[in-house]
Amino acid sequence: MRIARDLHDDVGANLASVALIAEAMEKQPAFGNPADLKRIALDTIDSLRDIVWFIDPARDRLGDLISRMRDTAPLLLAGMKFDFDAIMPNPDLNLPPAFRRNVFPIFKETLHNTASHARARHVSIQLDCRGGMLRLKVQDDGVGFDEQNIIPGNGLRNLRRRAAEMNGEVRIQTVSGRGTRVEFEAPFPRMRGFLFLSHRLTLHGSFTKK
Amino acid sequence: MDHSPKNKSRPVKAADAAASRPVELWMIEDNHAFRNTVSRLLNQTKEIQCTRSFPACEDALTLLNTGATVDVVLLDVELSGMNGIEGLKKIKAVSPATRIIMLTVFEDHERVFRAICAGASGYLLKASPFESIVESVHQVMAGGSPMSPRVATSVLEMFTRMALPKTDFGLTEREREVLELMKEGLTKKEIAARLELSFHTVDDYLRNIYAKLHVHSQAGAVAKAMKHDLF
Repeated sequence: MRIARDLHDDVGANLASVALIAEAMEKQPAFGNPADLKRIALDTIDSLRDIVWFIDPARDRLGDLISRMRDTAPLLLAGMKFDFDAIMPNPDLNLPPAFRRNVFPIFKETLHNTASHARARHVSIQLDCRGGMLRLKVQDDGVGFDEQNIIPGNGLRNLRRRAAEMNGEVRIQTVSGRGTRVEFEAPFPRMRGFLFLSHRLTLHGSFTKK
Repeated sequence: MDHSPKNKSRPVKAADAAASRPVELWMIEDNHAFRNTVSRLLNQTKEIQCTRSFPACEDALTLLNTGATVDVVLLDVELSGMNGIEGLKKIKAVSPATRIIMLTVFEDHERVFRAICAGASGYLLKASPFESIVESVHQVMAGGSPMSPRVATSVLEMFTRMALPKTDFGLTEREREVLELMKEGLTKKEIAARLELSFHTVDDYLRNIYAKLHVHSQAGAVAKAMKHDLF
């Protein structure tokens, strides 16, 4: 349901933009340019591809997720040099759609930020799936940023929201002029009870009320 | 719109305010392409200026809390973090005079209903042509409540549904049962037998039903009951 809603929201808004730009260009050809329309169309294709992948039950293993990350990295990092290392003792682990639909956007958003802002020569991507946790580390040698001078945008907010939904967290370390490291970690929803239990333990006894 | 001075009877407030300064508008929309396109288009008009656009409600609220004001907000419904309906309530709480128009792809009853209850002045679909977005901004400034035609249809449907159960004409459970049997074409005698009642009792029920439905015959009662969806 939620995937359908996201699809409708994202694809609907993109197509509405194309319709508005085309409408404006009828009267005022300089309003839009083919590059804008092309970019929106390609974004929409990306969204559709992601959604189809999220709901495909034949792609629900950890190994599928990691290979999709591996395939997507060069597209997102267009032209940058990068390493991709994954330690994955459990490639057949089944992942529920909710987990995949949060992890993959976190990965994309992180690399997208690196590609747009870091001006890095090299990016190192490390995935570690041991110990019931998924840990992602993206380190670049770019310009970094000064946390005082940055207004957290929607990208970072989305990252934190998705991480929180997975009982995980995002840490960002950066030094102006010396690169950025983004670390994300979240527990695998190995068993239904696993997350539930850890959730209850954090409530310190108040769970007896409910 | 007629802006000629000879039109003396036109209401002064909204139209004159719009003529003296442009309507200041903010947009809260997480889709980058749509946000850029609409704000660029609005800024080409003389009457409406999109002075700020935000990807999330939280950002707009931060600014409103510093005392900033705005005439109209175009507000998306599905947003990450605070959703549009929550945002709408919060914006209204901080800035009651701000008119809010929902601008979304969703037209389901629930979202429309919740937006209206939370104080939205209008509800537009993103597939709307640009002119109708502009027109809607002028309408809310003049105190109107613009809606995309499909949304208006959905609102009317909601009201029809809400109104129907109330027109049960005060029939009792037993009277409805009798009416049901009348619909099946049973005579008074047969109804009495079926419900194990005396003929006179059924006759009493019938008279009550006729009185409540304001009809004078069995056929009239059945027709009216069907029209009002009582079965």
